[in-house]
Amino acid sequence: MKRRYEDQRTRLLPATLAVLATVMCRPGVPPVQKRTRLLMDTYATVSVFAPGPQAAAGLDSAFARLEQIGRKFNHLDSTSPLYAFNERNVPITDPEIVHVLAVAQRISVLSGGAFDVTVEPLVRLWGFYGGSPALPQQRQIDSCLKFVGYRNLVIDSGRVTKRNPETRIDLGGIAKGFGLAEAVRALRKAGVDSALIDLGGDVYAIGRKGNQDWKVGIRNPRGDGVVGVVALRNMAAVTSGDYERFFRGPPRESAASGSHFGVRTSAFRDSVRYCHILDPHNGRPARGFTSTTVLMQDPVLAQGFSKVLFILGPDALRLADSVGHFEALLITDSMRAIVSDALVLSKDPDHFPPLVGTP
Amino acid sequence: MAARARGCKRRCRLPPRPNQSRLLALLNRQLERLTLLDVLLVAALAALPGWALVKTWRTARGEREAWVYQANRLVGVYRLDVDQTIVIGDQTRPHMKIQVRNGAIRVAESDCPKGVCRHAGWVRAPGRSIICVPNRVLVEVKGKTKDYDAESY
Repeated sequence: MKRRYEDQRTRLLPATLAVLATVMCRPGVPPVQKRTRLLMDTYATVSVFAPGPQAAAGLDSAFARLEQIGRKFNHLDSTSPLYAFNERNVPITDPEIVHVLAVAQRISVLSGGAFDVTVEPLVRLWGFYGGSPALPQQRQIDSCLKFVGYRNLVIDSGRVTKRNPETRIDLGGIAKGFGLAEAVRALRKAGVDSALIDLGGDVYAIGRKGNQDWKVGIRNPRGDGVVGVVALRNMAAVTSGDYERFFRGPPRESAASGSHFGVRTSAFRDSVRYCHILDPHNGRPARGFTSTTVLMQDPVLAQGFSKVLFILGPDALRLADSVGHFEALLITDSMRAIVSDALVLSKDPDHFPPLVGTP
Repeated sequence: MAARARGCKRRCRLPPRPNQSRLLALLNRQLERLTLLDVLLVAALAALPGWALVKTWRTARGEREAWVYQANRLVGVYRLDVDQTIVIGDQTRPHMKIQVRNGAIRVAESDCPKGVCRHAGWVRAPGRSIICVPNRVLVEVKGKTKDYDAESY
C-alpha cells in the first residue's frame, strides 16, 4: 500500500513541475511567422499566423510577387515599362500597369485632379527623388504645370499613351496599394487566411490573428508612439504624412518675390516645412495636414485617397459614398484630429469594435 | 471600569488545544518522508511570486532594446537604457551614426541624400522603426509593452 503511494507521488511530481514550467514559459503571443525584406524603396514585413510549412509557402509567394511589382512599378528602374514611357514615349501595354493607371485615373476624376500620377516632373523639380530638395522658382513650377495633368494620359483598349510628349508618370502614390492587394492574393492562394502585411507603413490585415483582431497603430506625426490603435479585419490602413520626406525652407512669399527688402532673417529662412506630397493644382507641397489615414477594404483606392485627403482635407470625405466605403483620420498641422463617423480609435485596444471588410 | 480592566493581573495565556500535539506529530511524520523532489517542488512554488514580480517590474519599466539591421542582416541588439553610439560603416568614414540617449534612439548623422532616417528624430516606443533605404539600414525598437501588431505611417 505504502509502495503504491510513493510511486504515485514520484509520478505526480514531474507532472507538476512540467505544468509550472509551461505556465512560466507561456509564449506571450501566438506563433506568428514574420519576414522582413527591403523592397519598393522601403521595408516590407509580412507576419503570417498559420502552421509552419503553409506560412513559409505563403511568405515565399508573397515576397516573390512584391519583388516583381517593386521592379515593374518603379519608374526610375530602366527595365520598367514606366521608364520607357517616360523617357522614350513607348506606350504602356503591361496589363497590370494599365489596370493601376485606370484606377488612378478614376481617383483623379473623382477628386478633381487632386490625385495625379503625372506629377513626376514637379516631384523632380522639387528634388524629392534624391539630392537635396530645395524651393524652386515660381516660373519653373509654372512651366512644369503645363504638362502635368491626368488628362494628358489616354487609356484605350489596354494601351496607355500620352497627349503631351513631356508628360511623365510616377506610380509611387499608388503602387504600394497594388503591392498590398497582390500580396494578399498570393497569401490567400497559398491557403493563408490570417496575416498582416506592412509595406513601409501601408498595412493590410487578412482575417484575424487567432481569436483576436490584428491591431494597427497610427503613428503620431509630431512625436513618438501612436495617436491610437485600430482593429482591422480584411482591411487596409494607409497613411500619408509630411513627417518623413520633407525639407525646411523660407516661407513661400519671400521665395516667390525674391526677398523682402533684400534681407532674409535667419528666423524667417527655415520656418516652413515643405513635404513631398505636391498639390497638382499649384505645383506646391500640400499644406494644412500632418497626417491622413484611410481605412478601406481596397488597398489601391486606400492609398490614392490618403493622398486626396492630404491635399483636399475633410471635404474629400464625401467621396466615401461614390468610391466605396472608407473611414479616415486626419490630423491637422495644429494637431487637431478629424475622425470619420464609424472610426473608433483607442488607447486601450482590447475594448473597441474592429473595422471589418469582406475577404 | 476601564481602570479595572487595565489593572487586570490575570495571565491571558490560551490553554493548549488537546489535539495540537497530534498535529505536530503528523507534521513530523510527513517531514520525515520528504524527498528531494518535494523540496524542489516547494522551492519552485516559492520562486514563482518572485519571478512574477521581477517580470512585471521589468515590463512596467519598459525594458526596451533596438535591433539594428543592415542589408537584411542583424548588426546588433542595443539596450536603450545604456547611452551609446552605433556606427554603421567603417570608423574613419562612417555611413551612419546612430545615437542612444535617455532611453531613446535616433540617427544623428547619415550620408544618405534624403535624410528620411534623420527626420524620424528620437524614437522610443516599442514597435517604432527607423528606415534608411540608401544605407539599407533598419532600426527596430522592441519591448514587451507593445499593444499593436503594425504601425501605419
